[in-house]
Amino acid sequence: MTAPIDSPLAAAGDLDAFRRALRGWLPKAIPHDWQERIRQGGEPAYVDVQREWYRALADAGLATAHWPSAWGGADLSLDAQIVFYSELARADAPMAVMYVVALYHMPATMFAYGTPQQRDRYLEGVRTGGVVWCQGFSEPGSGSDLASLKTRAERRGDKYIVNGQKIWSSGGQNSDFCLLLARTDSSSARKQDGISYFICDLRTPGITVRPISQPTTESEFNEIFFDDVEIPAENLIGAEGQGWQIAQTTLTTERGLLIFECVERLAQAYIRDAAAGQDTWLADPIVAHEFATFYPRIRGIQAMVAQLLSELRDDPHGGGVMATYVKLYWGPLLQDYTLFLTRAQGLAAQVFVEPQRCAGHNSGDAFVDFMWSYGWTIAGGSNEVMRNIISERFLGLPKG
Amino acid sequence: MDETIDLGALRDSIRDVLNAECPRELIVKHAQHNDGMDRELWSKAVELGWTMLTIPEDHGGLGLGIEALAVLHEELGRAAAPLPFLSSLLAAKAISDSADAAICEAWLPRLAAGAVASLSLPMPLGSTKLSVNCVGDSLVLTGAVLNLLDGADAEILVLLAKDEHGELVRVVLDVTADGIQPARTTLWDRGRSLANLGLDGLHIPAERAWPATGAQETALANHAAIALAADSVGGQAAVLDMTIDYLKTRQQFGRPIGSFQALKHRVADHRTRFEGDIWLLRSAVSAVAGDMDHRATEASAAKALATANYVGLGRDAIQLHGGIGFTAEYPIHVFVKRALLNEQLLGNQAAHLTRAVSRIVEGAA
Ligand SMILES: Cc1cc2nc3c(=O)[nH]c(=O)nc-3n(C[C@H](O)[C@H](O)[C@H](O)COP(=O)(O)OP(=O)(O)OC[C@H]3O[C@@H](n4cnc5c(N)ncnc54)[C@H](O)[C@@H]3O)c2cc1C
Repeated sequence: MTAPIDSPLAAAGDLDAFRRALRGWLPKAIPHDWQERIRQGGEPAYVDVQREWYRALADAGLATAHWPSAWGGADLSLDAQIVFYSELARADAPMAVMYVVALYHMPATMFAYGTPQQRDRYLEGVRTGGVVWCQGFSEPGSGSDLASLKTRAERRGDKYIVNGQKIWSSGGQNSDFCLLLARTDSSSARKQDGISYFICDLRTPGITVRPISQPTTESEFNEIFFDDVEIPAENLIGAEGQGWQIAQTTLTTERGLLIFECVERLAQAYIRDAAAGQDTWLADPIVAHEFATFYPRIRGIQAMVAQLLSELRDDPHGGGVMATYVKLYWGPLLQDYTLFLTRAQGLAAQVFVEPQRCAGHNSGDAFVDFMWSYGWTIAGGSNEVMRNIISERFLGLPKG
Repeated sequence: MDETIDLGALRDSIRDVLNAECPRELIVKHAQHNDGMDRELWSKAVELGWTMLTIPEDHGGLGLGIEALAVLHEELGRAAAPLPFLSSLLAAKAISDSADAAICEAWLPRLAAGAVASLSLPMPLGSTKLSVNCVGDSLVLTGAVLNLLDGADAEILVLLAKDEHGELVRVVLDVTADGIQPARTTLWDRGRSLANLGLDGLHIPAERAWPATGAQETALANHAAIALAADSVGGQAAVLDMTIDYLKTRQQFGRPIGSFQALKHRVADHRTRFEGDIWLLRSAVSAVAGDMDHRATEASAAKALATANYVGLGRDAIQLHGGIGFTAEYPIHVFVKRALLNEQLLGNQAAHLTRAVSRIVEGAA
């Protein structure tokens, strides 16, 4: 793909030039007053801002620049992606949260296991059509023990008939498609072996998407009900029974850059918070001491993420061990820090404010940020699951 | 500095020697029967050239930089070796930073050849109760010098003093020739000791002094912070290994105690925090090596983080071992004592946190 002439991507060959180009481009491209619009307009305004922002990124070729050029991307190097994300953080751009599955999880799954027809259709849909995807893995009875999932898909002719329920699907209410795990064989000896992986069009009859309210007053995740839903057999990814293996690819796709962006935003928030609290809570020496204890931890996670990225530079499929340490370091740090800030700010932080969606995890509203930190400590492998993996797989401690 | 040194090979060679010459039984025995350095072990280290490591080549050293220093201290920490490298190499740096050719020539070759040295630590910056006055061709030193690390075992002392104009100077003393003897303070960490020295009009030649600039003292503090962070990283690696091995082998209720989640999850957390210590240390080493603007904040952040986590791991490691962890024969306590000392040496948590956030928080040091 060739970059549009006025896109920063045209300069991506030279990191300094790319950075300069982004600094010129971002202020014009970021949706105007996006924070205020979302605060006032709630969910519809959030969706508008996401679409507008995605369009700007896509028009400049930046949304999918990290994809291989064979699939419409720009083969953007990891180092250029790092520049890109640090500039997004610096410019306080909205995070393209509505598109994360479409830009990372779906394509990674397609690159590895999709048929040429699937790739052409679904990658192009995202790249030029801004199609939105979500992930339908978890179920009411199957969270950490995902492989126990019960949603059934029965083969009937050239279709599968799906019945069951998914839960916690982020962005499901705004999505066009869903990455779906369902059981095609309930008699397999290993529960993992009976699972298959599907592309599911959420407009298919029999599907009901129901948002779940969250403590922040938002409804970012959803239940998805399947009642005799027909999925064409051509929407199976990989082979029947291969779903568990494919899901590992989906889940480990993006282990560097998204967390890099979050960590950069926290590091910037820390500096901003110091300035903001200077005449109030930070003037208290006891609070100031606690504030200072976060600095080495933030530098620690930044150094770990830098190491993770350098491992990924050497091997794009590597970094698994480091990514696990990074996740278990990051979630609790974010939670500790946002809780600290909530308490340090006293009653001021207790005052209700409309959450500012897609501002990342350091929106500046400490209370909301603290609530959202559970996204990192529960989702995508809870802290406890990470501790099991580290102690059993990495340190060799016996299973319980 | 020789950029071609293979740090991995350096690390392996130091580790092999310490595994053989400074095993856990030795540090346990040392903690029960000795106080301060192990002279026999020191002679071996000197023979192997470790005291030459960071001393400039012109003065009998190898001229290696902070990267090599960090490797050495990490391995010394892993062994909890009772050796006065922290004080001696720091004193050597104070002397070589004087940029005074005659002073370097007079003292550095002795240090390279294995003379133990101590110094007034560079943090808090410029604090000294020693005064120095010019009398004819000599300098006269009067006052108290407190908490000289390994000072009672040292032949050479590099002290900080204030002259009649209130300017800071460093002076170098020869314990034997100057007829002084710092008095030992025994510590819980028996691999190290402190010492106090009272001087009442000691005369020394004027050419043994040089101005102690803020930049030099800051550079010393950065090196010391890196050395202590590295020692704490090495120490944690050892404590983690010991603890994980124990959890795999100790059986209770018919199974290895490491299969209990309540225990293994704590180990996973310690191991995860340790990862942050390692990479922040590496980042601080490059910041200091590259003379980067944030070198002081980074070195202090690394020191604060690694020493605090070393204490956190160490205290829990005793608990995870049960009764055996609370015996003098089992080496864990040696590491825990070192961890607690590391946190206090060269400025405590509060001092280093203050220094670490100084670029962000107005009013911090
Ligand atoms: C904000 C958010 C967004 C999400 N988005 C999505 C999404 O888009 N798509 C999707 O499919 N899923 C999503 N999830 C679901 C997420 O992956 C699950 O919540 C997660 O896997 C945990 O499952 P669970 O909620 O059923 O908790 P459970 O597995 O029931 O866990 C409950 C508690 O038990 C602990 N526990 C469980 N097993 C063990 C064990 N073996 N050892 C020790 N402790 C254990 C857990 O750590 C937790 O503390 C999201 C979750 C959140 C919070």
